[in-house]
Amino acid sequence: MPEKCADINGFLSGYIDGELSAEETPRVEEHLASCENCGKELKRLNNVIDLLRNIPRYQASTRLLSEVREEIKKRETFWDLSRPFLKWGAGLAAAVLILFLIKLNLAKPAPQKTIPASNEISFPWDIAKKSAAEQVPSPQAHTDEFGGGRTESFESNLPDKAAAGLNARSDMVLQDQIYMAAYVGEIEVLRAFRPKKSFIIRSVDGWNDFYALVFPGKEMPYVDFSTRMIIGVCGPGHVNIVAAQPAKGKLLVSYRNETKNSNPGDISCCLKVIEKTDLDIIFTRE
Amino acid sequence: MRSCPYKGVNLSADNPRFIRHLRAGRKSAFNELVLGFKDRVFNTAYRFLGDWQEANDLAREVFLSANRNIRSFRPESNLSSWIYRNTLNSCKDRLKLRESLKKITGVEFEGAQNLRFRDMPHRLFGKKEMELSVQAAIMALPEECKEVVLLRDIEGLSCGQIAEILGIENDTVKLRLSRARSALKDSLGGVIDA
Repeated sequence: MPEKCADINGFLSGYIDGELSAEETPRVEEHLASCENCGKELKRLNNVIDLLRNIPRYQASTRLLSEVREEIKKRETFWDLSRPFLKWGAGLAAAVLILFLIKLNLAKPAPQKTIPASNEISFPWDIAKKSAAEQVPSPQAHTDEFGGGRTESFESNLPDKAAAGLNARSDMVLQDQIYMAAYVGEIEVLRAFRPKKSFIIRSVDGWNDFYALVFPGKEMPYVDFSTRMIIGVCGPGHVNIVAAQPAKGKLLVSYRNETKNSNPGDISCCLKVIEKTDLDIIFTRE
Repeated sequence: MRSCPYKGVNLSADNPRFIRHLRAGRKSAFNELVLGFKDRVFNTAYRFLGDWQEANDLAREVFLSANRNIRSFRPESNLSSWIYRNTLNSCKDRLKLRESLKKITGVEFEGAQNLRFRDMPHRLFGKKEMELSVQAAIMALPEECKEVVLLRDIEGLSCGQIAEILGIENDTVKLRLSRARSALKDSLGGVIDA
């Protein structure tokens, strides 16, 4: 009994590639010999493969190598932590610093004064550390873990984080605080200071792309990632980046969290496009 | 002038000496890596993303990332698989970014995917239109089909190497390839029937 065309069609791609088994090949050939339609299908598939194999191949930019070299040179500073001896040295220094801070903290009595929530900055890892019971939005729930200038790093990827921030409301603990800085690529939070309501971030991978132009309405500008960068701040309420300008060798980004103008539970993400820079970025809440 | 020590080396064959020098951070080895793979990375990215500038940016990022992570590359692994894997991962990240921006701004990326060539007869096509029609059809494929067909039919890799790059079974590669070609056959109907 001849096999059904639908059964054979699934084997045609493998038949063209010569990837079928010793049993499958004669089955397909036998069917093709007696079925005009499948013969046509085979021809059409062959045409598709020919089109793909003959699609023009292009050369990458002739400046690619020099651009890559230039970028590597810029990043290869003496203080580059990828150097093994510096990595160990930095690790040792961090350990000493942490021990010192722990000692300092134990020696000091716990502060009595409660700082209002609006002066605090919380981060995703803070929230993750809290138990479910503690995750009820509460101004007193967050203590200043960053006051000592601790260095933290985490992997942030704008699509995931921004999407999480914008869409997964039910999974989030809403705080009356900005909870993250969105950035394209991996970022490192160098320091975060509660009293100044600031945190400093630096890109640690090659993208270096961030935003400095609030997307007006639904118009998205074309972003040339070789010359411009993308930055964003996400948070509950209505978040707005009000300025991004270089000063004192840093890029100062100030933002507002206008919770009063939003509905409870609202989350927004403010994105900007600015000229590409290697400067550390300081986010400051106004 | 010194001649390049790696001239004529088949990079995809993963010459152990070349890998050793690459891992040791030799500039000449890294330069050869870039020169040897830049067009492959660029073409893969261009066909995956459908955007010239983005593909150039991505190629630069792939090599910067390779430079940074070369010490984590295991000498027993296949260098070209490693590069292709990084390229595809970066491509997928960029697509996620596009999706994210689309959600935020409500604006869709204007690429070749919006072009419709399905019913146009072959004879009306110039070379460029033909390429655009194929590109549009590729862009419309699901991600897992797109990467397989790009690596197999455009980059000319074997199913075995594709399985290694994507970390999937050989049979899965063949299945996805069959689906991808079948979908392309349907979407390019008018073009391939002529």
